[in-house]
Amino acid sequence: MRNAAIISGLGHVAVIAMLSLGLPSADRFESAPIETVPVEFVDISELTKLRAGDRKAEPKETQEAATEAPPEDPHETPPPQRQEQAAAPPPAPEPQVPEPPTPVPAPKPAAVPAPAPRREAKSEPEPAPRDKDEAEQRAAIKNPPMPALRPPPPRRSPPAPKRENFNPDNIAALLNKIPDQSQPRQATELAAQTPAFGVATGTNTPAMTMSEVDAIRAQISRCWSPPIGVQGAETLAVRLKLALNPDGSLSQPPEVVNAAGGLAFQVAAESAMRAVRRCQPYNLPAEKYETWRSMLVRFDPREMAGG
Amino acid sequence: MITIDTTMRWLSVPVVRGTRAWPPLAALLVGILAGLVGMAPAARAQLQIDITQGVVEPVPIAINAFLGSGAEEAQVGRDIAAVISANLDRSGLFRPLDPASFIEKIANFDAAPGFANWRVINAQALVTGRVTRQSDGRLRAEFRLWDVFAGTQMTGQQFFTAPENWRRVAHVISDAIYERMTGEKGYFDTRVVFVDETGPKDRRVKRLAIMDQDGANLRYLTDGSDLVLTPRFSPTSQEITYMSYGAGFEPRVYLLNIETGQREAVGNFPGMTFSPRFSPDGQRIIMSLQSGGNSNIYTMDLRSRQTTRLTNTPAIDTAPSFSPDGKFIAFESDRGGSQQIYVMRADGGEQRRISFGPGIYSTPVWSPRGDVIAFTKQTAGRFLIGVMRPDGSGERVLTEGFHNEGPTWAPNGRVMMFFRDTPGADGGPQLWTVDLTGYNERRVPSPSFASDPAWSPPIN
Repeated sequence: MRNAAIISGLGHVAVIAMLSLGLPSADRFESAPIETVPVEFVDISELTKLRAGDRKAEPKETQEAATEAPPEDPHETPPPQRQEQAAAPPPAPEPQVPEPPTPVPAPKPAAVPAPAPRREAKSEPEPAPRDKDEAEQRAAIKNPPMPALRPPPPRRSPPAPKRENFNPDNIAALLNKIPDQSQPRQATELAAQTPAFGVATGTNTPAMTMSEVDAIRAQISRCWSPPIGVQGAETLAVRLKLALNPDGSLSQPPEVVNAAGGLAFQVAAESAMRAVRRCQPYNLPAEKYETWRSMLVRFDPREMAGG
Repeated sequence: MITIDTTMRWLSVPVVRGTRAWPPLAALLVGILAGLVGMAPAARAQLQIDITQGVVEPVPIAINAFLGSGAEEAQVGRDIAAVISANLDRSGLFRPLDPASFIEKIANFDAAPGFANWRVINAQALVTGRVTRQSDGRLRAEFRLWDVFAGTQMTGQQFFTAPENWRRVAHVISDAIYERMTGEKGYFDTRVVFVDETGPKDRRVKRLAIMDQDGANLRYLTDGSDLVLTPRFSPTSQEITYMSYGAGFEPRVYLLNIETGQREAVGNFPGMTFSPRFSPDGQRIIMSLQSGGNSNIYTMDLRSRQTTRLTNTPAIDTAPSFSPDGKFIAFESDRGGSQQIYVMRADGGEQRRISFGPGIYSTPVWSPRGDVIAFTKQTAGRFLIGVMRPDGSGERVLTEGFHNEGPTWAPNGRVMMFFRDTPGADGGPQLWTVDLTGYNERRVPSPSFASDPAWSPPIN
């Protein structure tokens, strides 16, 4: 009986070990972390109401209103931030469309709690909502932009909380007009205290936005000429580890991470290294240097080798 | 009577007599599980980027004239560089840069070049060389291939040869550069045998001709008194097999030795023999033999002259081609109603059809790489040359043209040569090459009309 128990126990351990560690010959299945893109649904009636409201609103001095500070505000809808960021098309066109005329500054009243979010999003202005603070976003999405969009007067306030001319009185005026304005504030304050989901590989350094990653990808791939047509070319994936200087040039020769034997792999690795060398220096955002100073680039010709 | 045990005693851990082994085992299990959990790899916060699309373009390469000690050697050096440039350009995978654009003049073969000068003109690879005459009259040709952006030498070799053999040295160097840059074996040190056609369309004079793959060193092997067709190279010896219609003779298969010019008929079969080819080991010839209205496939051992029949159908089976490992044979048969491609084992067993598309499939040729079979296809009045995998899948068209026919593979299975007709009373067939990817279709220059090409294995 005891022997059977021991054998069974060892068998269980072996199975668990195999399931946890995997077979030695199997390739690691690595997929890039999927970055979340928050999407908002904006009721058209809200916007039309807003527009109607705009016409009736009395004009005020709007020098600050011209300057947009969406990056400072993590609770803003993503599209305006994206526009500032890069020329990439915004992921959520829907909220984008009504944005241009007035709504752009309008969400800023949701920035009423601007100081609070700014505090906790110390180094991650607008990438934060996109791929880190999902809980925050969800909370923000629940109520905020819509009540924020409705009233024209809120338009005046955003410049205030953003810049040094933060005027609490203005906000009080807003709150008086929009009773539920406080909800977004609660949500954000709550979110500030509860831990956010984020990405497993997230750190305190600012993550690269998808458009920036696409920009890197475009810069490297236009110099990459893989040896297709070689038999078995589609299986020759090359992984390079790059170390970059702040100006985007290589600080040391690229390193092949998955070295394999054979002339075919050597030629594929050389074509990848040549691609990386040819296209330096890379045009990358300087403020995120800590993120991209070391990157792992995987060249996979599988899609190109039609066969 | 059924009793229901409500005490749930069966849930409790059984007490085992002599329980000394039990708790330690449990502790062991728990410990191992905890260890496994703890061993989970730490999350790496590293930026990962996947590149799946690149640009398909020829590699810009700078080829310098080889340095020579004297005027004669310098001329040979310039000729060698010109041949290498032409070879690499013709392959479609390289783009030799114009020497007029070079900034740096290479004066010392043994010193490293100034790579910045070559990066500026966007050369990704650089070839330098030197030609010296040895004391015994032989020529020594050496070259170096440099990776410009990495700043290192990729390869360097030297060759000794008779001075008049400089063309072969240039082809061998081209092969070395091609192989080092693409990972595939080169095909420049090869020859092509074809049927040269002259004269008016209704009375063509057909002669066997052989030339280097770049068109140089052309010479004629037969005098044109007999009609010659479908020449094929032996993979192991300097021999060609071909069909000839002599006056008054039925078409016969012949063997011709290129170097000695000796010719002999392969067997004496009643009936007509067609489309001969060598087996990969060069020991047998496979061909189709027609008697009555029936055509079947036979192999013949060249030493014993013993023939073996492989197909036995009332249909026309012809155009057989061995796979590079000699285990399978692809052939054309109309047993299904129209000409289609079949594959069978080398002993004639397991004959199965692999082409199923619309149209007529003919002249299958197995690639030396073994991964595809080339064929000619006629459908809706169009003539196509395409490739498919040996199981019939992955069919794709490489080229379409007027009377496209007769594909033959370069020894690296990457480039294919075929012939195409030009319409009209003054038209005639011409040789063309195309890359396996379907790109880089080029005409092969020949003195007159040319058809039925066959690519030789590498000369060594």
